[in-house]
Amino acid sequence: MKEKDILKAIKKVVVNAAPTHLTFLEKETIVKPKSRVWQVIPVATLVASAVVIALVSTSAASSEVNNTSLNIRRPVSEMMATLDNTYTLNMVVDGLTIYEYAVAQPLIHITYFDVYMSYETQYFVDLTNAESPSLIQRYEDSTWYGSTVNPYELLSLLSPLSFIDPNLIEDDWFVWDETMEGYGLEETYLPALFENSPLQGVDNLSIWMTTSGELVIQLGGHMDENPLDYVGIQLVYSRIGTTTVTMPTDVLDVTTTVIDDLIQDSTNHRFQMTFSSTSDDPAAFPFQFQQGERSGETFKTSLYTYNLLNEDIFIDTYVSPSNDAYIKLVGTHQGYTQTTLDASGYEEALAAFYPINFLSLEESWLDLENMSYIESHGVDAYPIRDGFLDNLMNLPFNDPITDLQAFVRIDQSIYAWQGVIINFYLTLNINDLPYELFFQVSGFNRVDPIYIPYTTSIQTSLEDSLALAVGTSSYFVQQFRIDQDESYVIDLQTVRAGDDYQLFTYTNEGYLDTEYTGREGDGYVRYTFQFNQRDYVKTSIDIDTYRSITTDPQWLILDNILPGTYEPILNEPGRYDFDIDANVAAFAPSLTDQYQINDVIINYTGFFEDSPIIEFQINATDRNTNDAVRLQATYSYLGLTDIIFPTPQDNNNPGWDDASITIETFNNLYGDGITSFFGTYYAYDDLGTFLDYDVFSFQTNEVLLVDRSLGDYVQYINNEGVYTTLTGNLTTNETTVDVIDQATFESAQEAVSLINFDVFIEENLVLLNESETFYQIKADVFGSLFHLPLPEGFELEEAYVSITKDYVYFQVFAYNETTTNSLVIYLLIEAINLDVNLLSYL
Amino acid sequence: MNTINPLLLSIQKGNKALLKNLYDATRFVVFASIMPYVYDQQLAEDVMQDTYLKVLDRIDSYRSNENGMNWLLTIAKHTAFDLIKHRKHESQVDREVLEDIIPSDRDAYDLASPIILQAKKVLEKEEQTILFLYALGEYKHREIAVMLNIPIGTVLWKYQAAIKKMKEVLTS
Repeated sequence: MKEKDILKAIKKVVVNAAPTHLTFLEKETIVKPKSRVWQVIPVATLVASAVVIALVSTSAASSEVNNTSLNIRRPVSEMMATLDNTYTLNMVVDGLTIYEYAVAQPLIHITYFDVYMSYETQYFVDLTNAESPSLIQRYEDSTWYGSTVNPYELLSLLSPLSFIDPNLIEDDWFVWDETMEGYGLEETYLPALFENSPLQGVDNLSIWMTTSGELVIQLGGHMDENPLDYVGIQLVYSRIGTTTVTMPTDVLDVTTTVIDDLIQDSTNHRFQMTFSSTSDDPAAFPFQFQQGERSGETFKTSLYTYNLLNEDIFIDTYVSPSNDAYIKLVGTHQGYTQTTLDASGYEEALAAFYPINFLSLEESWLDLENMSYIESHGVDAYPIRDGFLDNLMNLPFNDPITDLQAFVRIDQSIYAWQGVIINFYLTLNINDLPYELFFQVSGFNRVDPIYIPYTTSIQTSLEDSLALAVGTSSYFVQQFRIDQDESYVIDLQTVRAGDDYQLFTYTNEGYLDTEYTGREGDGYVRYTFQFNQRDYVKTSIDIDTYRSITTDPQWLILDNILPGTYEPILNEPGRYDFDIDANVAAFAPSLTDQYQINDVIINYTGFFEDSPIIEFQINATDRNTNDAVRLQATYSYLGLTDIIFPTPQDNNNPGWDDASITIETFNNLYGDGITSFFGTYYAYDDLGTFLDYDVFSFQTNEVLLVDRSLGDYVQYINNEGVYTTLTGNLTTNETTVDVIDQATFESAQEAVSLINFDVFIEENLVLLNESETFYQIKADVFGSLFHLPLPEGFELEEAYVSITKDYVYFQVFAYNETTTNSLVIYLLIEAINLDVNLLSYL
Repeated sequence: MNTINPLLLSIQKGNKALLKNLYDATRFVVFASIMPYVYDQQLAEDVMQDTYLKVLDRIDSYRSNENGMNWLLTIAKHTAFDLIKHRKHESQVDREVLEDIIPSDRDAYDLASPIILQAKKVLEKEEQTILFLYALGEYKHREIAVMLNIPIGTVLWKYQAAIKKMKEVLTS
């Protein structure tokens, strides 16, 4: 399987398996006037949009509540009948009122409380003309805007009024509950009551009237998407028969054109644009989608381009005041680049911000007498008069635009963040190829402050950064050879701090190894890690060895890079063309001996841990194979590195002596098998707590298990087929003898067979240190080699073994990913095939 | 592109509705990052849910100069550990057993798909994380290094090791 196929297969899993939504987020949408999971609005209900207030237009007669004679136990149908065309409904979720509906037909005043944002949006709906209901909306204290409203959107806004159809209610569906002083609906009637309700998933309903005359309907249910999530809603009806609604005055009617009012001096709005070719001509400009937001002087735009080569290009641009100037941040897939703008630069950037000069638009530009139907969008819109079209376009193309037609329509959305919307529908030709453009502006005075994203904050120049690296001799350099499949093969990874270096390498098995090289007094030293000692060992080295480890492998000699020999590449912020002829001395023999350098680009866009990253991207030819190669040398942590040499511990462990033997020798020595041994087993957790300390013996006719922590022992004995156990404690003389069967004896043998020596063979080990015969055990034989009494939840991670002619010594590392605890186990197997009695030694 | 930090900052300033945008922008990368730690779809979905709930709970602790993705992935990883810990007493299906009981016609694109089971079998957790994140095709090794707050060299190495092991195991 190829790499790209592996990646594709994994991506498919991630994309398929990642949940498309989160249930708690859906729950949150209950508080929003958006489509929601729990609150399904069947299309059929749309038919009833004009009767969306069917709830209150019941056949029941109006019944003013008389609190003095309130009977809270009156039949449900009678309580529901009190709801006439005039009442106030509060929809309460988790104790918070989300919507308040003041209904005085045909007027409805709705207040939507955004409990998270602590703002409210108010709506007035006039249903006098059911075919074309009108909506007046105000977000916080902004202007009242009036318009007709899309019936679908209105239905969503009003749906709580239609949760229950009182016409369907039968009194005998309900059972009086004395405890709650209310009625509970018998479950069997739920489907009948909610069959056509916009609310689906209800599985319990209670209804009661408070002593103050409020009618409360409590609904509980489970969301379709996650049956385990319970949601409760209360519908509280009050001011029954006494609610009044007064429509606001000073309303701007956006169904006529109020463009001048909206646009004049507007500095707070958002837009989106789609630009697409309507031909299949490969020469056509690529599809573009752009979003922009402006909040005062700060604005941002995200441009997404998708071309015929299926290449996605994203460019984010932020422009914002900063101190006495402006900053411009351009983000591409390569990272962010920040530049400073003066006032004229800012004006230039602002002028380029809008793909359509909509701020110039005036009402007089529109031909209000000739509203046209835009078939592609299914809406009516006003054409822009011919004389004004030339001033409209601000696309970043130099090519002339012809056959431009533009139409404008104003709408209002019930969604507070959008508010009034100005839509532009355009068709045009560029180089005789046809295009469509849709541009929409909305959110007037509703755009939150725009935050500049986390930036690379590269405030320094490349020259400064190179000087910093050279001046401090402090950096982390990584050198890679980039394969054709974009794999980065590491050539060198070393941290430099002055004369000291920390070099990272990897063993053949992929384990990270670190060594330190540096100056000490007048000489040079090197610290290398000794696996068997689990510690560093220091050796003195000469200057040639020092250089061969530290400076020689570096491809570039930063000190020799001449200022001014790299030029910024036009339209590629942060990238520089590096003059290789002027910088011959900057290339080290370790590079030029093997490669012919063809060109070098410096990428200066990365930023990590408070340091810019200087990336030299080198195109070269391999002198031996004549293959084209891509190399990369990356410098980071400029001026920030620090190297502390390890402090080796004295290790006088007498066990590590020249009695070491190889696995091959070991298996030759015990070629007939291992029939007896002593074992010592102890384990520590990662806090250094001693967990276990056992000693055991496996002999031909004896198995012994000693818990050294407690002193308890059990000796299993096979005396010519008579099996017994001797149980005792090392600190007392009292023992107990019991007769056992052969199976128990064999079971004890198995219990102390912690190592399966059949698979303790060369091919399952990796030699790490030849002189010490120290091996790493391959992970894929853990299961067959080890039979360790691991605590629950632990799995083996790494294992090493030292082999001598007298013993084998295992060090095993285990990890519990649930508790994230680690465990270190030491197991010493000795007295191999000596067949002795351990008890006498203890 | 780093759109995560501004989203987190906006949420921190009270615009909780943007959590949905945050989820849409990060669900794949968060899911990929927890995949090494979870073995069943239900647990994975629970981890996802709890992760974003914790984002809301802990949003005040987010600092503007902090890498948002790293902050988010750290929460996700800890959430995965927490949930696994809570369920340690529940019966766990051994991964080998899991392979045996999965019907052959099962949807190949979930956590029990052969390629994911193989990855879990042969790769270290960190190798899995790096491989899964890279497989999304949205991030370079360097970006993954920043996300996970580990050196680029480690990411490159572990990625190569992971691909090598996967090729071997899938070929064999």
